[in-house]
Amino acid sequence: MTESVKQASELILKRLSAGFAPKLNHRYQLMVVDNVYDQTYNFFLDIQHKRNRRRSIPLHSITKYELQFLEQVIKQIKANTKLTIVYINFHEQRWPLSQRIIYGRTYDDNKQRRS
Amino acid sequence: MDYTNEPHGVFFMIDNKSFYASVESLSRGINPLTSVLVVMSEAPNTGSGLVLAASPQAKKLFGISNVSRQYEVPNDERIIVAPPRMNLYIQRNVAVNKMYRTFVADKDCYPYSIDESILDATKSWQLFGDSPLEVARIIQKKIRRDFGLYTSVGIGENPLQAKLALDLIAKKSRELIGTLSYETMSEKIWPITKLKKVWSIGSRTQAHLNRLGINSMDDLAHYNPYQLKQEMGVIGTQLFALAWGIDHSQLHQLVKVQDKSWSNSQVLTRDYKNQNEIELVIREIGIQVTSRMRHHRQKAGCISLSVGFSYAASTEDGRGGFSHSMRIDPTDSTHKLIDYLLELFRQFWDGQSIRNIMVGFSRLAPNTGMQLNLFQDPKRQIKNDSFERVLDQIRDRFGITALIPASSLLKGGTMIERASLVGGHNGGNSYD
Repeated sequence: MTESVKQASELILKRLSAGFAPKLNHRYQLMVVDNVYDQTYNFFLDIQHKRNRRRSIPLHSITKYELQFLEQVIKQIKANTKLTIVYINFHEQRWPLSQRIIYGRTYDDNKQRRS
Repeated sequence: MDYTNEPHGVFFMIDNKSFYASVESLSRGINPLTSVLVVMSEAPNTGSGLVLAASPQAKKLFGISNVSRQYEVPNDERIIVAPPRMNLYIQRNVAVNKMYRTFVADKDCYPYSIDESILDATKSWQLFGDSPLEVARIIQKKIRRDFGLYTSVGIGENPLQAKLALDLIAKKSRELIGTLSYETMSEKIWPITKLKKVWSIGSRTQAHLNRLGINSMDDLAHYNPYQLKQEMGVIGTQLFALAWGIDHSQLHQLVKVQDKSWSNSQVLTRDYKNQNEIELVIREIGIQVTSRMRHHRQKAGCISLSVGFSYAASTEDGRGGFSHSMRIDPTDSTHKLIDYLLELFRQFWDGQSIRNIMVGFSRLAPNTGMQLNLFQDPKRQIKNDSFERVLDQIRDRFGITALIPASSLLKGGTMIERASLVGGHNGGNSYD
């Protein structure tokens, strides 16, 4: 099934609103992961209370592994929510349209893969 | 011991390290060895929540083990809690096994569980390296490169040794590889004194062995095998062979199941006391098992029903529950089978509150045709039969919940909620 930008962003927003019930002293973030193994972009809602465990709720996996597609989906999501978006393992690639660097965090650096 | 007549092959037993937790870590872009992640099922019947898997760091830092309860997991900001996605793990397991099959012939790869596989590389290991150890390293690297997963490998001359090498050596070694051979059994396995750490020995068997004065694998290997057989039966002989690393199993010869059966069970989300509610669940499980059986064109000649009492009821009653079977005229009709089940239930149930239910059908016979009953309207009988077949077809095409009895909407019904579960846990997002 090839998914359109609209379908993907709507699905993510729908699941996001189902999991996002703002409570006091909680931090909510949207995590976007560049998954090189499956060639997908994964979305998670991250909920963290000050002194409690972090809950990470899977929202969706985009199987169309193209940054340009992702950029459009992100644009749609940003238009509808103000949650912070954290990019993981993007290794400072550039967004194809805006040409900005994708800053984020790196948690897995697979040496086997580079060789 | 003379091992010359024993099978000498090259077997790899490969285990994905903390499989569920690693898959979840990787999908979040975190290295499985550094992530502190637990996969926690919060299905209502697990009480407050059950840990299905914990990443190696979570185990190390917080002492979390699998099947820990939610309240045993500390409230710490470093721990990430992920809900289970069983469908994803099954997909990943299939992909990993596909990779294993690039190292051995298709028929030499035997999935052992969701995260373990046995590879019989006797004929093919030379194609990939100079020694089995080197091949094991190549497999590990390839799995890490393509899936991000870390694997432990046990290498042995037969499947048993590979399994022992995996459990007792590889999981503890830095390289995550362990090797065993007939020659090294005495050096590597015999010093073990915690017998239940060894595959196939549980705490009951350990206690039994201890009573016989066997406190280490060395003792077991030097016990009189005839005495062992007299004391423990066939299992005694097997344990003796285990201590010497002997395994005659031929993996390519499939084990013939003597009496196959179909069954389903479930743990209820709360104690059920009301007869209507309990019967509703029995009916739902009955539908599920019958439809599975009908899929294989079989009919059942025996039904069994097991009921587990709630904690309070079992202390009061003295029994944990009851379990009964009944021989019946072979049938595949949902209606008849459910009637028999309810009959059985009403006969033995005495008002206890109930927490789990199992329904099973056995003495299966191929469904070659319908046996008409002389005393009933034949047209009605044929109609009933085709009606159930249509139900099956609709459910095959549109899913279990496409057609459900209205009674499942009543209080206590579990069918709708369970339809999306895999192995009793959340299957994951349906769109993925």
